[in-house]
Amino acid sequence: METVTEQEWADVERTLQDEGPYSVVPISYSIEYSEKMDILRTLMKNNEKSERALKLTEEIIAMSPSNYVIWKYRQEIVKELNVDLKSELDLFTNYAKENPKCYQLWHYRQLIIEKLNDPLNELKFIEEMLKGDDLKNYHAWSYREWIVKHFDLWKEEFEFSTSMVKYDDRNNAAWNYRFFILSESPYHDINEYLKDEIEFSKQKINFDPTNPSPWMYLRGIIEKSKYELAEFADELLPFCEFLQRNEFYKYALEFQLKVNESILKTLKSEKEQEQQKDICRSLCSKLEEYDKIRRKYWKFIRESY
Amino acid sequence: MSEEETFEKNKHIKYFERCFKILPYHYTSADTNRMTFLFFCISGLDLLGALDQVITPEIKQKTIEWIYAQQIHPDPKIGNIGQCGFRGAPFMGHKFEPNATETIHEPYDASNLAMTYTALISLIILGDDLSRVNKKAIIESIAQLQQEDGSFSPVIFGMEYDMRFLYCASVISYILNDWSGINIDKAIDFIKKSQTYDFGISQGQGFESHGGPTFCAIAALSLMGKLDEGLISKKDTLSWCLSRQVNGFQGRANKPPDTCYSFWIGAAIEILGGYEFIDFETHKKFLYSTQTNYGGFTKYPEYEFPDILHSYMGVAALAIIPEKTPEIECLPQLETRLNMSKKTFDKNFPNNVFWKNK
Repeated sequence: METVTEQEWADVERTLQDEGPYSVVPISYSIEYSEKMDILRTLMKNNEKSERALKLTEEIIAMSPSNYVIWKYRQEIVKELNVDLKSELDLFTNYAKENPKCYQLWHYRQLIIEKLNDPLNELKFIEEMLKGDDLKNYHAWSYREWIVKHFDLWKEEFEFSTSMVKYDDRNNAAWNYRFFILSESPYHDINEYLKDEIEFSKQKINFDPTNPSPWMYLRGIIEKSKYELAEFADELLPFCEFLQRNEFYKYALEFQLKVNESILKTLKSEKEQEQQKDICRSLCSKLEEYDKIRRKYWKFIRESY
Repeated sequence: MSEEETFEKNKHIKYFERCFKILPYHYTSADTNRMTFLFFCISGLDLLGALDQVITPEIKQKTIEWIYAQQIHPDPKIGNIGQCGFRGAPFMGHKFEPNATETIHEPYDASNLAMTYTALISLIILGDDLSRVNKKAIIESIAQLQQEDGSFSPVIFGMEYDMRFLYCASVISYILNDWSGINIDKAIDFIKKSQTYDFGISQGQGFESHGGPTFCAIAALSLMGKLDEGLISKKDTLSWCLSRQVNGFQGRANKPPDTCYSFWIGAAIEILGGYEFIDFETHKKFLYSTQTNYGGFTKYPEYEFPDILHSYMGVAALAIIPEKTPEIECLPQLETRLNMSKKTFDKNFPNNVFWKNK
């Protein structure tokens, strides 16, 4: 770490942080941080846009990356000094890797890319960020959605979602991304994909019926299409039953319940409705048994028909 | 974790007391958010019934002064609309002036919605009547911070805008008893578009449903009195929330349970009127397992050291529980939408200048 050199900053008056007579929740700053902030405060006040100010903002960002004020100041310096935006992006790539959940680092990236009006290698960068422990990084996925939308890069993304779901089928962020592509891309029609997507979800459910993500996706994708869940009852109810030939699964029971509730809405005669409600009630009873943590909720639903 | 684990009230009091007096170096990375840390300490001590015992009337008054010193007022010369409200700390180097009514504008100085929200709640908990709050300037600023899509940016030169700040803007409008800074139709539209295919709520259209924005959206709608209008299916959203209970609560499907979601999701469930459906015992057991020997709570049971956010959320989450077992009987009910003690809210809130005689 660099220290504050008297020579470089001899001309800059220090602006101290004025806590008043009693400081609440004070942070035990390092001497380095305090000294550099004392200088930075003066520079900001004078709106000095210089090489040394640029360097100082980076040093402070390294210690306090979520300080949005300093990020704004840096933006203005970068603009004034005509700093190469690609080098600016490279500079903060390592910081992003060290602070993968820092909002400001992601937003600064987005801002630079927007200005350059070029997605560069950002999709690859995001892919790297999503490796390892960070498969579900909310910032990375959100940023990817922005890049894809902004630069019209939809075409390859359905395949990308397939690879991410295949890599970890419990990555709900990847499932959500798949849904995002099919529901928002101008090149994909959800109705055309529906049959394949039902198949894809069923495969993943067969592999692990205790994984909630494909169950939620399956219901979501059908409800988003032009069809109702009830219209797939003939296919999906037997699927759930066969799946549970040896043991019950709470997500399967819940899915059966949703399909049966959807059927209930289509029935006109009171007698048919009553029979259908019985099916729903008995599924709730099973849920009370197999989804113990929510037993009070399923009891309430059972009694609500 | 041992069976005997119970709520460590006294250790938590000590923890918040320590944080109030000094925070360790690593909080430097959140230097601009000190107001939220202050809120966690004050509201945490208040929930634990120890505010008066730990903080003397003199220090309380000094804390109120410190909060007011972070307020950015209008600059009559330039009209800094969009920048009024509170800073998180004196990091810009302004002179300590708790009684100011004008602020000489400096470049890069701007309020932050999350800091304005936590400053106002802290003032209420400390018994202040908000008479030095510049309502007009704050409401005008809020209006500047709302985006075309209905979401909010926290600061005028902000790069981020999402559900979190829509919540902050709603709490501020509620406290100041003035909703004229928010285009409610647009806000509701944003909330609707953020509901996903599983009926959880995300930070914005297309993103994954998540416990944090789910709370923010539901609390904001409730404060607006628009809960039924803003949710596509209240029943399904409640069901999504309830499905997040593992023992504690996870923030997203297939994520491990984490202390703070006991608050975010628990509070959302409470506002939706479904709190009786959660499994209290496993929930409490999880929370007790994230307590540390130093007091405070961690994010995950396997972590060793507490942090101030999870410590506060742990206490607040326990306060939501309606049927309190003896070890948590000391905790008052929570005003979940504002995230403070209901008892303190009932006592102090009607005395603020924006609600008095209304």
